[in-house]
Order: sequence, then structure tokens, then C-alpha cells
Amino acid sequence: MWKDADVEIERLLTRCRAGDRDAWTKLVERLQSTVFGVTRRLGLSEADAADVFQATFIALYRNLDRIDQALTLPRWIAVTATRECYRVRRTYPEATGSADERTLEDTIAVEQRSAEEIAIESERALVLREGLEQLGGRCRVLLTLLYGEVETSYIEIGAKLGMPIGAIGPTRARCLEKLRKILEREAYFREVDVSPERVRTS
Amino acid sequence: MRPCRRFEQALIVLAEGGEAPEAAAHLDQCEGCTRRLAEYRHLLGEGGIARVTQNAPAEWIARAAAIFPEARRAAVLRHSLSQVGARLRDTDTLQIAYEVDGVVLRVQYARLGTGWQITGRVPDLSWTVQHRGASVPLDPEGGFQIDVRETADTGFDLVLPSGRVAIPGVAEALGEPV
Repeated sequence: MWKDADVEIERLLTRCRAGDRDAWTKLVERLQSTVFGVTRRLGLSEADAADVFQATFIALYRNLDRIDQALTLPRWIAVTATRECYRVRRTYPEATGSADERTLEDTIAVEQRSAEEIAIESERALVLREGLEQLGGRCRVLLTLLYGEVETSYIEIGAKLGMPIGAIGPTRARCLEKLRKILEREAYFREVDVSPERVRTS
Repeated sequence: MRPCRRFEQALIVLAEGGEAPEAAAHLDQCEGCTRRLAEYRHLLGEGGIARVTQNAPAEWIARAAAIFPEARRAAVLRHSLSQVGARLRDTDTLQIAYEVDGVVLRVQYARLGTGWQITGRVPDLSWTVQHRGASVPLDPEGGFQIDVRETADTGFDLVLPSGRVAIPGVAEALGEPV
């Protein structure tokens, strides 16, 4: 799906297997947002999320030799993180009925389905993240400040980027379009529901 | 289908939750603009940029980075060239004995074209031999063989239950230039 990123992850995996500690640090930095995102998605407390985060990377370290293709790593890490989340907290807030009312089989099925959904989302999130990286420079910073989790005012953005406030609007449109084109090349929008009904009601 | 050029800016405004009545009314008749709006909404929605720019706390990342131990280096105990006073470039075969976790590991090196054939036997089948990140097959007695094209490529790793141990390249082990 994301050839350049796959090549880089493959290179990092190979270096990790050869005992390169720097490569491991880079791999952690590359995958941390995926694991963090899973813990957020499943609503773990900060303490539980920290445990899951560490346990997931310990599992990756132990399985470095078994992950034979870089392409499978984002999915592997998302599924592992999801399972770790369920291990520390055996409930699923979006499931129908409470965990206590479910049979073991139901619980396993729900968790399996959830892990799969989260894996797919995480793979897509990684593509978007790589797209932002590829965008680079002021565009990446601008879009992150404008549309990231922490709301930032135009005044603050202007000050941070040394950009007149009047230029932020047109620049953000250009940057967004640039990002959209990068992602389009990666078939990122294939899964987006573009039916007119859906778009109108959004 | 491409969106209409005149609505490009307005579609972003709509995706941001702003108002652009003319563009909104136009959506009913234009598949290209509808698709583009859906794409922008996805990027600006909760599963988009906002989510992927979330980073784990720096101390979590540092703790995860620290999982990876520094590879220990095996110590050279002795080598066959020292007995005959020869240099690496003058020989076609040699043996080096390394100390690995209190065990002596003997490794043989034989010239193979421009490179070397490296052979040895691990004392415990729970050990793994890795060369350039790939596992080297072990025979039932723990024997292994690695063929390399260059002297610089003669280093390999042992993965033990106690961690990773680096066996240096042959020139490095002998303290000679590659």
C-alpha cells in the first residue's frame, strides 16, 4: 500500500534483527502513534495505556524474527496492542450488552472483530501519517496545527510559522489539496463513503 | 470525476464545518464535488489528521526504546594464527575461539573465493545464529555454516536466552585491517 514506508520499515526490521539499537528506537518512534491510538480508541486509563504500550513493544521485540514482511507490521502491531488492551481491561464499550452478560465465545468474537477493525483503521492511519511526513515542511506543520488534536488559533499559527494571518487560509487549502493528492496515489480514499446521502448528512 | 474548480475553496470550508450555501446546493448535481467533500471531511474528521498527529508521551516512547538491549560482544580467547605468527591476508584457514556466557565457541573460517566460509557449532539448540538479520539454519547437532563474499561481512550474532551476543568480523577479532 505504501511502498516507501514499507521499504523503510523492512530496513529497520533487518537492522533490529542484527542488533542495531538505533534502528529499534526509530521503529518505536514510527509505530508509537499506532499503539497510542489503539489505547485511546479503546478508552484505557493512562496507567493501563502505559502498560499496554510497553507490553506491545516487548511483544514486538520478542517477535522481531517472526515478522517476515514489513507490510504486515502495522497490522501486527495494531492487533497486538488491541489484544493487550483487552487483556488489561476485559470490556468493550461499543459492544451490545455488558461484558458480564456475554459468553466467553461472544467475548472472543467481539474482541476478534474489534481487533480486525482497529488493525484496518491503524493501517490507514499510518498511511495518512506517512502522507503528512511526505508533505513535509510548513505544510505538515500548518495542517497539524490547524486540524490536530489541540486547537490552535490563527494568531498563534501565524506567529509560529511567521506567516501573515491572511495567508493562512489560502495556504491551508493548497496544503490540504497536496496531502489529498499524495493520499489519492496510495488509494487511501478507496474506503471513504462518498455516497451523496452520506455526504449530505455528515 | 473531478470537482468544479470554482467550488474548490468552498468545499474545504464545508468540510471544516463552515457555511458555503452555493456550494452546498451544488452538491446535489455534482458527483465530483460530492466525492471531494467526502475526502476532505474524512481528512478533517475525527479519524483523520487529528488522530494521526497524536503522539504517546515522550517517557513511554523512551521506555519502549530502552527495551532493546545493547548487543554484548563475544570476547576472543585465542586464535590459530597466533601460534604460527601469520596474518589474516596470508592464510586460507583459521580458527577463533570466543567466550560466550562462560562457554567456548570455536569458529572456523576458510577462504571461499573473495570471501569466507564460516562454520561452527552452538552448544545449545536454544541458541540462534543470525547473519545480516536473517536466521542461519542449524543442523541437529547445532552446526551452522555461513558463506560470505567479503571479509567485512564475517560478523554474525548469537541470540541466546540471556540476550544477543555479537561475534565480530574476523579482521576485527584479530585486530587487523579489513
